[in-house]
This record gives sequence, structure tokens and C-alpha cells, in this order.
Amino acid sequence: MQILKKATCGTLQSNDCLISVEASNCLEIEIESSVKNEFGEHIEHLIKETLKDLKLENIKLKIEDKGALDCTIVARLETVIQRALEG
Amino acid sequence: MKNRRSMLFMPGNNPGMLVSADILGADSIIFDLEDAVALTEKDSARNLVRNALKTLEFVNSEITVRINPIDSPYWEKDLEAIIPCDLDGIVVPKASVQAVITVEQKIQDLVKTLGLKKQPRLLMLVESAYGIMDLQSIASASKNIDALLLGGEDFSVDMGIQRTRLSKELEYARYKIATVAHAFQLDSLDTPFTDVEDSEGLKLDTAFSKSIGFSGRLLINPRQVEDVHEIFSPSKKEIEKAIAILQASNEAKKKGLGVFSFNGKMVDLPVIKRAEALYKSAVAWGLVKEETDLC
Repeated sequence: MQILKKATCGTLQSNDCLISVEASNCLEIEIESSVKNEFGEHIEHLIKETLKDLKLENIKLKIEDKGALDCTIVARLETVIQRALEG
Repeated sequence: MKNRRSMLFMPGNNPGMLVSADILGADSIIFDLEDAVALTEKDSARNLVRNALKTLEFVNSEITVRINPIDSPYWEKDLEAIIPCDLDGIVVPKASVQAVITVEQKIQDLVKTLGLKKQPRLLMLVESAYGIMDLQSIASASKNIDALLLGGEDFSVDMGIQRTRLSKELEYARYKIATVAHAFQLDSLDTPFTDVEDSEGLKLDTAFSKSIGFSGRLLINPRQVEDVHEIFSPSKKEIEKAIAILQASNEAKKKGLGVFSFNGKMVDLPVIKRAEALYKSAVAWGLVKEETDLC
């Protein structure tokens, strides 16, 4: 499956995250987070697993995390992918 | 039994509020997918609420979701997202008989397709002149309806009237909702008090709500919970009296008596039922410890 357009979802408010995606020839994940040292690996793993479930491989993604829980990150990611897939 | 002294609205697209909702002390939470969410964010709010319901543990408050109205393009996707989750109720805005029938049919289809064992209750938010006039038909449209709620702001817009501090303009709507709810043994929740800085006004207005028979109030700010609970909760004296009546009733039953005297007054079944309802509510709200075999 390939995304068709750029899309964003989320906010920079506390407990939230802002995710932006666009089409790419490979998987690129950029993580900005005040807790990147502690949780960066976990966030990356979570994103990769979610993209795998959504059957997406080639995508350029940036996440600006403001302390979001996993359920929030996954919700924002699912929404931004749905938006990017819309014609 | 009165279940809800308070129902607190939380915007469905705000993760911080979803996460903290369960510790704010309200009897019931309404995760809002309707008025609190911009049209461009309906999809993200829906996914956020769905994921919160699936992964977070809510133990202190009842959890409900206000879906979008049936004349919007969003309500079906709202139900498809949240019905598979563990939630207690659906708040249906712009209440009408058609809304009850339409939403209930969709829920039943989803429950059947997904093989679910539990179906959430319906709480009908009445927000129009026609809704107020048609209350009895709405209340009797389904056995799954648990409560009637008043949406005073939208009702005022529909009527073309101004909202005031003590809401005299809503009196007819308030009396009718409280009365019809009691007739059908439903909870009734009054419209939110929207000036969150005016705690005196909140207390006065809520005291009036209680005096005409409302069982609780819709809230828009956690700071309102304590004052509203104080007004809608039975007092220590009322709880003690209810317990004493139930104990006396148990004694009377052992003697084979249907009616008995308590503090010089006759006590019959309606009085016992009122005492039982008050006692059960007090236990549910943590105001008193449950006594074994009391009722």
C-alpha cells in the first residue's frame, strides 16, 4: 500500500504528539521528544509495529512527541495514515 | 436507583483530558465527539477515544461517549469505532424518536455482527423545542434508555431566547424533563452551568435543579464536581434515617407486618422503597459502607 499525499495529525499540547507523513522510497522515521533518550527506541518500535499492521513500508514520518501515551501515538498514527491514503 | 449526580464532558480530541478523566471525581464521564471537536478533526477524535477505551483502565467513573447527530456524516463511523470497546453508554444528541430508533438499530447490528455480549445504554440529550414537546415518545421509544439530559444552550438557540444566570427561560424544559424522567424511572441531568468562575451561581442553580426532581447535572469543568455532588448527595442525617427505616422494615417483616410505625409516622412500601433507593445510591457513591442483609 502506498500513501498518496502529505498529511499531519495531532498537536504539540502536553500528552499529545504531532505526526507528519509523506511518500518515500523507503522507511524514514524522525523522532523529536524530550524523553528521546529514555523512550526513543520504544516509540520507534511502536511506530514500526503499527505501520507493519497497516501494511505500509515506504513512508517518511516525523513525530514530535510531547509525552504521549502509546494509545495516543497509535491513534494519531492511524489517523494520519488514513488521511494520507485519501484520494 | 439514582446513579449519576454528575456527568462531566471531556473533549474527545484532547489526550491529556482523556487520560486524566477517571481521577476527576465525576460519577460519569462523557467523551465528546460532537460539539467539542472541530469538523476537520472528527476522524482523529474518534480514533483517540476508541484507543483510550481499548487500552486505558477506567475504574472510578462510568464512561460514555457523545456521538455526532444522525443528520451528520459522522455518527455511523463513531458507533463502528466505539461499540466494540468496553463503554457504559452512548449520549445521543438532538434527541428525537427517530434518533433513538436509528442509533439503536445501528448498535444492534454491530452487536450482532461482532458477537458482543454487552450493549451500552442510551442517554438522550434533548436540545430542541420539539424534543421537549415529544419527551414522552422519546422516553418510551426504547427500553435501553437510561437517562434524559437537557442541552440548554442549543435549546435556547432553537427557541430564539437569551440564556441568563439563573436560567428562568429554561424552567418549562427543566420541569418537563425532570417529570417525564421520573414517570419512566430514568435518570435526569440538568443542563451545564457554563460560567465556571461563578460558583455561587452554580450552587443556587443546582439547588433549584434538585428541588424540582433532577437526579444530577451535566458539567463542563472538573471544578464543578464537588459543589454539585454536595447538593445532589443525601446528607448524613438522611442516610442514617434511611438505614433506620430499612432496619425497622426488616424487623417488621419478621413479625409479618406490611406497615409499621417509625418515629410516630406510618411507614409503608413507597417510604421503604425511597429509603432503599437513597441507601443504595449512598453506598454506590461511597458515602456509607454497605451493611449485609439490609436490603
